[in-house]
Amino acid sequence: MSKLKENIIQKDMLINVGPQHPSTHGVLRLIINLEGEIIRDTKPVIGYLHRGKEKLAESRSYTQYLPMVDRVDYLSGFFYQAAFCYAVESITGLKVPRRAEYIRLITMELNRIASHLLWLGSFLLDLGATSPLFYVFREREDILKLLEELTGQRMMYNYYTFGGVKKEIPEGWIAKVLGLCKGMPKYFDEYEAIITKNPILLERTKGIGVMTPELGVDYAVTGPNIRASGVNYDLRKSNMYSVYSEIDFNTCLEESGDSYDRYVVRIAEMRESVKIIEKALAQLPGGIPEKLRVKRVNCGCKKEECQYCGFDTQLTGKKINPAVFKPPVGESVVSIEAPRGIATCYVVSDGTNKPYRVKWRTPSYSSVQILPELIKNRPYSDLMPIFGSLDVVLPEVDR
Amino acid sequence: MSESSIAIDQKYGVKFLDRTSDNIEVVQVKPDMLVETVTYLKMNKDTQFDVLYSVSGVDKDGCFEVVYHLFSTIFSKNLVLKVIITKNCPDVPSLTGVYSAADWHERETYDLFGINFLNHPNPERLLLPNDWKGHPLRKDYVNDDERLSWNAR
Repeated sequence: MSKLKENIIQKDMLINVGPQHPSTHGVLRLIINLEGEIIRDTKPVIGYLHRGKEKLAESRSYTQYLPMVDRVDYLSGFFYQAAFCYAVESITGLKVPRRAEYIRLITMELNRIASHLLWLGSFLLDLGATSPLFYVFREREDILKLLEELTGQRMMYNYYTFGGVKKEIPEGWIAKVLGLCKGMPKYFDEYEAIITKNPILLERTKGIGVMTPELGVDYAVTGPNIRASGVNYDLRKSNMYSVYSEIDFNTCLEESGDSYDRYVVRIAEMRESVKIIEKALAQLPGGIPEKLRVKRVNCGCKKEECQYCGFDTQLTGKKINPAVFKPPVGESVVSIEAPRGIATCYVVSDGTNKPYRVKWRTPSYSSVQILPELIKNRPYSDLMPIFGSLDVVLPEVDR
Repeated sequence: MSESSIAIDQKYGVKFLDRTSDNIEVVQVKPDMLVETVTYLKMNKDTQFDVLYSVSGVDKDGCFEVVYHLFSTIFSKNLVLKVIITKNCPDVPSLTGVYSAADWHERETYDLFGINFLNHPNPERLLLPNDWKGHPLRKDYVNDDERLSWNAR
């Protein structure tokens, strides 16, 4: 008996985490080599949720593929639809009206807040704190109700189309969003009062899972994870897709790159997103839909540059016919700053009505890849504070 | 079509192909010069492409294209590298020595396209199970694995 005990302590132990571990968000398997309680080596096994999104694209027309794009990441569907729409619009040369661009921007930022809120709840649940989950679901529910009113869906929105968005904003929606934005900072203060200075959280996340800027860039980690290490890498600022150039906002940076800083960056990002939404609603071309309709009827000039019935206040530029929609031969790479990092869509068109090749580059893929480096030589109890703080969504890793 | 704005030394023998429709440069690189060219692009202070964010394959008529997407966090600039290889001998040198990020992306490309990355430390399938037959994203792929058919059970 004593010999067996010695063996267990001295020898390396191979343990299997997952695939259905409750704190792996989705289905991820980790094969961990432990020496006592210290993790020496980790091998992530992914692919349990592989749905072949890239292969499915090749047998469907562009408009048939569009609803499937949301399912790449179920928590931030708008971003993936935006990436695919921008790529196809770029190949085709479709112009997007500015009103549609603003609606896209507002919905994307609302989606970012909802996604970060869910991350916050589940991250703290991993650390053993149950009550923040109920707080964040209260606000997330408000956002999802607004998005449901706008698109008819709670998660898989299917709201964007090539050249714009599908539906007009419902009556009273803008006032509701403004009301929500007004209340949001107070809610964030509430979370921070519970969480930010909590000694248990500080003990478990400060200085844990430090990602140096060099390591993060080498592994192509993007989004809030790399911004917590001090790398100023935000496509909304540097590439200015959509109408982000017309809106003034700050990029949230932190220095040390540990789990705690990743939490701080995400909270700061949600606060920025609220400001972006408020500014975008104030600048929305055409303004409130019910007033716009009246003004359009009164004006009735139908000129291109008119501020009520012109191109910029339309929902879609040129309406496409889904049956005969054929982008010309060409290829396009579009990167979007999704909540978890940079989502890239690479579309190759051969001139037929089906995409020749669609490649998805998803941010969580890099975050899972860097996980063995971050948890190396750490105690097993640090696995969840590190893995949770990376904000990994597994369906997006496997595609 | 304008010329490339990125000065790459003549000795690497790169060829400026085209721009994508969103104005990102596409450059063709010879397979045997790939590692040298990418190291140069990463280390040279005028280019500094420090992020390799995607590796993918495209099955074109008669050849495979391996497409590398590079990004520079300093200049916030994109670049697309293409390596064109024959279908009989789909071999490309691995970039794992230059970028750690290349590891999984190359394994995925091997998994779905059957492109061999030479000197890769761990050339295994990533997304599909290890006993999967064939490489699904090839255009001539037919799924005739009888283990997957319901009728045969």
